[in-house]
Amino acid sequence: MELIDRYLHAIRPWLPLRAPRDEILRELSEDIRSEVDERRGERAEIPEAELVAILKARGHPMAVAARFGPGEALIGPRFYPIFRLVATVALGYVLLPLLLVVSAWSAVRSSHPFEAGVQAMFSSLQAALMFLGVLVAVFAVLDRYASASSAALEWDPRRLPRVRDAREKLRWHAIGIAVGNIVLAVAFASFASGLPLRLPGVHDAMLSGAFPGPAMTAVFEGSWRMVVALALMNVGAASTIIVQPALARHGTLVIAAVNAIMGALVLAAAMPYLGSIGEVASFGPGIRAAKAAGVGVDARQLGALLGPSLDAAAVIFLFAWGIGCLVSAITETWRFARL
Amino acid sequence: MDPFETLRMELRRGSLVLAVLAALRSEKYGYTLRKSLADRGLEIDEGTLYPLLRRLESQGMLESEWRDSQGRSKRFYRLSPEGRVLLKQLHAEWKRIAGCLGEIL
Repeated sequence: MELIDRYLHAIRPWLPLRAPRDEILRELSEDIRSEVDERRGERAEIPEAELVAILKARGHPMAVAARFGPGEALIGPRFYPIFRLVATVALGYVLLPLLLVVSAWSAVRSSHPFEAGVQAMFSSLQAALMFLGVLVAVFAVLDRYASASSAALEWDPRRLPRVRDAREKLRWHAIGIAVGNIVLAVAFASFASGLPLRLPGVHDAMLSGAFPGPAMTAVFEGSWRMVVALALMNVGAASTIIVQPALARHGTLVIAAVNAIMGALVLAAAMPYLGSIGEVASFGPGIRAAKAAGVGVDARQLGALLGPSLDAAAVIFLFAWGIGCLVSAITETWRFARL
Repeated sequence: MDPFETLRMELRRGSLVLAVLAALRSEKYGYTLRKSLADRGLEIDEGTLYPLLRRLESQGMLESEWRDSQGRSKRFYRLSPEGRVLLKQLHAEWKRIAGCLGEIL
């Protein structure tokens, strides 16, 4: 019977978003169990091979879920769940943040920031709509011409993931998110309170403008409160998942949204300093020059030598962090859809 | 999908509502309803039946309740008083259409 739970668990993410999922799964569960009872007859238990045959006859979880979707449409029930996922990820978590970043970047670079920003936003919107149009056309053609055999996916109910494993995995994942975001919030809050200044050498390096350099200082001062607030929201959502697994869907959605916002915020903050990345190249030569001159390098001198380079390295870090947040938003959305 | 299959599905769609309403003159739960229809040659998959039951219930044609039976909770459906009236009207209409079609065909 555990196989039935796994089967129902695999159906859930593909059900239409507005459908009463719990009710549908409860009815499906009862329907399957009634059929199993009937086939079992007087036997104590139904052999696994027979149960597998029953589930296979009902169809792949994705196909079963698709039958609960809307009736006739340009993209039919076979491909609609995949279309929904691709459109959500591509538009919501890639194109939309990119649109924000590109618009902010255009506004910052232009002497007419408002006009440039609005123009860039409309251009990006046009591109997003075109992308959506192409996506709909591709899936409509697929739905119309894909052979029936391609929809009859090869699958084996015995290979469906175990429900308990999935929940346990989600719990550990939530713990990881909570810990990571606590570290992030504490790090940003401690920098804001000036705690690192008490570390040996850091005070001198900061006075000399080495760390954080001018770019990073501006980015940090403008965004640390927001980063701490978003990190705490993630901690709250992850804690909810840990304490109350029934609310995992809501928690995962919050984490996806927070990460998308954080990614867009970090990328937008780092974008104006993109040009300084080239200065990283001077990092190595700067040190070699100091060594060749036989200069005893203290923190203050090191700051003067490496300030801009460290700043540029920090911008690279910001980019990596921003992209990481967006990738995480995509994976959390995928997780949300599968819960 | 070939044209016959498309037209066959269209023909079935309206008839299924009538069949489900008629089958629920006596109380049944989902699986027994599906089976009783299948035994009479009208196979209906769960993805068609359950949304249809929900729609008919929201229209006031059916009543349902979750009850324990044979150690499990099952949702039992039955025709509502309004559903009985509607079934009579639909049945009369069905007979009229069938008569007309008989003459035309």
